[in-house]
Amino acid sequence: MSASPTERNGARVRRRRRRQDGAVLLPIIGVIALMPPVAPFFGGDRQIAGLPLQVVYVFGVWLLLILAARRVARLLMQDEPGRDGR
Amino acid sequence: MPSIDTLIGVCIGYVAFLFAVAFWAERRARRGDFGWLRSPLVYTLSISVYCTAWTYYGAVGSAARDGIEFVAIYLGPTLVFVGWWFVLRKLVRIARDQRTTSIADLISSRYGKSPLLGVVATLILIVAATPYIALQLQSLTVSFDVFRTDVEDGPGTSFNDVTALWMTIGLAAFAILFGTRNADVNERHYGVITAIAFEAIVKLVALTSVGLYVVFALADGPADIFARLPEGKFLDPEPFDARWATLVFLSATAVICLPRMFHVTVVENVNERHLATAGWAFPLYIFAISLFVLPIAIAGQSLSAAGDNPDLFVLTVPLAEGQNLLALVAFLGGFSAATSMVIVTAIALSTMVSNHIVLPIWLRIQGRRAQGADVRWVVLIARRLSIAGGMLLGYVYYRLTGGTDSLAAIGLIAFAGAAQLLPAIIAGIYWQGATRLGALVGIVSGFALWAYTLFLPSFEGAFILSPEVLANGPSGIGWLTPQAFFGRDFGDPLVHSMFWSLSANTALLVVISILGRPGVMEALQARLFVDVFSVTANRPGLSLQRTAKSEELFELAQKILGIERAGRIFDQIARAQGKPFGLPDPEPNLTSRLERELTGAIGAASAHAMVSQISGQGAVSVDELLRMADETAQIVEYTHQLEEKSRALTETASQLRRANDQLRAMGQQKDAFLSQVSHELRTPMTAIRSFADILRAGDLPPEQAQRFVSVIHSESERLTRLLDEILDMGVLESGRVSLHVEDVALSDVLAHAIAATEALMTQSGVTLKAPPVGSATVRADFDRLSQVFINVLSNAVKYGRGDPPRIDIHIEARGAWVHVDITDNGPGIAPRFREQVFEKFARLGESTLAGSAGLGLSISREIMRRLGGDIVILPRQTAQSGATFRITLQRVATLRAAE
Repeated sequence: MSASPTERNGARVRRRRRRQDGAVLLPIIGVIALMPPVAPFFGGDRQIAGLPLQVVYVFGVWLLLILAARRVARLLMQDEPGRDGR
Repeated sequence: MPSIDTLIGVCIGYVAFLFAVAFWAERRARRGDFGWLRSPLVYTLSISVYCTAWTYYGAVGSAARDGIEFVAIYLGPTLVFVGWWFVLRKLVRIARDQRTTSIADLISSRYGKSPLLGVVATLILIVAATPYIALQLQSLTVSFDVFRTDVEDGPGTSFNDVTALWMTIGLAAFAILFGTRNADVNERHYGVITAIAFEAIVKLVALTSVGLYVVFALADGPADIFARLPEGKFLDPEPFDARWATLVFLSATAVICLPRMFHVTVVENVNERHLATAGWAFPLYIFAISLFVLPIAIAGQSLSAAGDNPDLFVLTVPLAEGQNLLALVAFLGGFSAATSMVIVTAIALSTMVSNHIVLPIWLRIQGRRAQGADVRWVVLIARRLSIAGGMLLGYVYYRLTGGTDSLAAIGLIAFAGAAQLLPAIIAGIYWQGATRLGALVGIVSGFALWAYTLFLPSFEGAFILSPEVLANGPSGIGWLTPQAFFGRDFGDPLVHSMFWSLSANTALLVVISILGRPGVMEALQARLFVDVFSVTANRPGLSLQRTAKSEELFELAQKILGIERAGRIFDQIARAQGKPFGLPDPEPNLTSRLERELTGAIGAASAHAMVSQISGQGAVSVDELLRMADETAQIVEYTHQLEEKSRALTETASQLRRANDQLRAMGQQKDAFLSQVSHELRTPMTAIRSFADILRAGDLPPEQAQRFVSVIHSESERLTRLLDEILDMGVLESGRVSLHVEDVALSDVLAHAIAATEALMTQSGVTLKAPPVGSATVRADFDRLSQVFINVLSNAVKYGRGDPPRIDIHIEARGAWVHVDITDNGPGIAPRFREQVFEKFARLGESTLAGSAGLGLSISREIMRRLGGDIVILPRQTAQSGATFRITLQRVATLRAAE
């Protein structure tokens, strides 16, 4: 027997909550990764593939944040009804 | 090098094109043909007004001085936008519900539509933004200067002043033309926004072109450019310190609090969903903008011909390499960055000045006489004048300071000034307890501390604070030294200033709010702001109970919104009240709805003041309002509970429905079974009864009577067997039977079953071909398994009927299973009946089965499944073979295959 409408509704609500939690979590993860005390681990004069590690680290985290935000935004918009204009 | 005339020509051409774009977009929007004018892409690009000339030139300069630190200025906005769901979405929703026109309006509206807070916020933002505008003008003239090496006079000359003046006039004209078409700020400025979006593309293309040129034409890829990094130069080994954290925080607040950012992000937002796109696309834009900053800075430092002002490397690097076209593109990029910032800032500031300073003053002067004049013109003229005034202020500031050496310093000071509004905003949208007085004291003290510790010291003793005060504190009081309170300077003036100003700001806001008591309007607005997602501004009941004559309200609306729009709104309200024509009835709702509409044009405080002039302050008390608010909260809570309950009920109902379906199916099965049973029982009963009747009549020859009696006997035996089977089936199906499962030798069971059916086979002349069974051991119940074998064997005898009849038993071990195949040489069973024979009282065609199969096979299947095995009918293997029943069992020990 397939899931009843109520069950599907419940699953959707749960999924949307999870996605909203993700949206809140993302900037927090960003702050932790880009601030002391985590970020200084990637300081110093070390290099990776000829590029300074601190540059690669900061830009890498930045890009990952952008990609994650894009994913989360897509998922959130799937179950958010459109609100247009005033 | 392009001549200065070419440059001026290009600039004029570019500005003309910008006017054309704005004009075209405005025309298109007026026709109602929005298309991509309202797309998330244009929205995102317009937010890039964050990247000013400071970003464009100053980021490279900052990178050349302090290495990766410049990135912090972009990480703050990235974090805010990545977390758009959190703060920005709420701001946008509030701004839409409240028709917010500017950041000052937002604060004033939240704290009880306070005119005073609006004025304070506006003044702070003007003080913070004026140096910022001056900075853009400076960067424009300095970048012009780069192309004028042949002219004798240095920077700060009359040529520069003239350039700056013409720029100011041109930008003011653009802002006035496209920024003040309507009094209602909430009617979007499509022309401006489209032009800004276009400028965003120019900026990105220009900076990326220079970057690509540096990395791939000047150098040999990214690794090579970083290899040119002068030893020990500018990549600080420990960049992630307190200053870094402060910069990230500061830029995060700036993206919310700066007037231009609030304007493009919140006021010009047409659709909340656009935020979802901007949430990742704007960070991506600034990521792309800053990707090439470090390479350009490194290239500038390694080229001696690029000069010694790192703020201008974007221009001087291509020029030093003789890339004139590239330099021209780079110049246009900087030009567009500066112009877009100035235009949007001027529009945002002018809205605040007209709504929060000019209009309240005008209202006070006019008093009741204000009822007569058309306010729209006052608003528009005020706005146009304040654009011109703001620009002029920037220009005067630029002339007075003569340009500061480092662009980045001014930008950061402006950020820090605007950041003083942040505590009031965040507390305002998340904490209902924040009060007007708390916000006011917090903002003013934070701003004063900012001015004392950062802004005034930036003049280095030339303005208000003397060098002595800067060095030793006022009147020699050491612990009040502007940049080192209590003798601690935190290693950085910015960190020091931010720490003290924001700490004082937040602490005072919280403490005074807790001690104080909010007014009616404050309590109402606090609720509407904090619970914006659950309480809408249109809720009936949750309003000040003010009423006024509809005629007077209409007259007021007409003066501010124009006759056409006012008529439309009043019509709408009248329809909603169920009046087909005429003005709506005077109700508290009409008053508050109208006030909100007016807010979109003249700001919350002025709208409230004008409506209250007509309606009075309303008779509601704080307690009453809080009670109403609580009632609404209760209703919301109650609705929520009802929804939960109804969800639970739906759930239960569907479970019941499912259970009911199952029960009905079972009932039908029972009915079918009963009718089959009665049918089965009837046949022998009929025979018994009719023979008994004949016998009772007497007069029969003894041998015939004897025959009838044996028929009666055999039929009653059949009846008993049937009843036994039904009982057995019932026990098996209900699961009440306990199977005695143990390790059983398969040979023993088979031998027992063959012995039990031997008489039957001999009687029918059946030849049994049974192989010698090995030592296979299976998990089974001995009695039940032999029952299954007996059943299948006797069925094979009964229905096999080959000529001559024969039964083959074949045993095969396969993995963990043993298959026992019992094959007769009868007519077999048609494929479509293969499952049916296992059903209770299955009746197959007369040709295959005589009468009913009874319950034997269904019992056998039930037993086999309970033993963890199965019984199935295999497809016919050869033409000679009849039906093959395969009994599958779980094996315990290895079986020697008996071929």
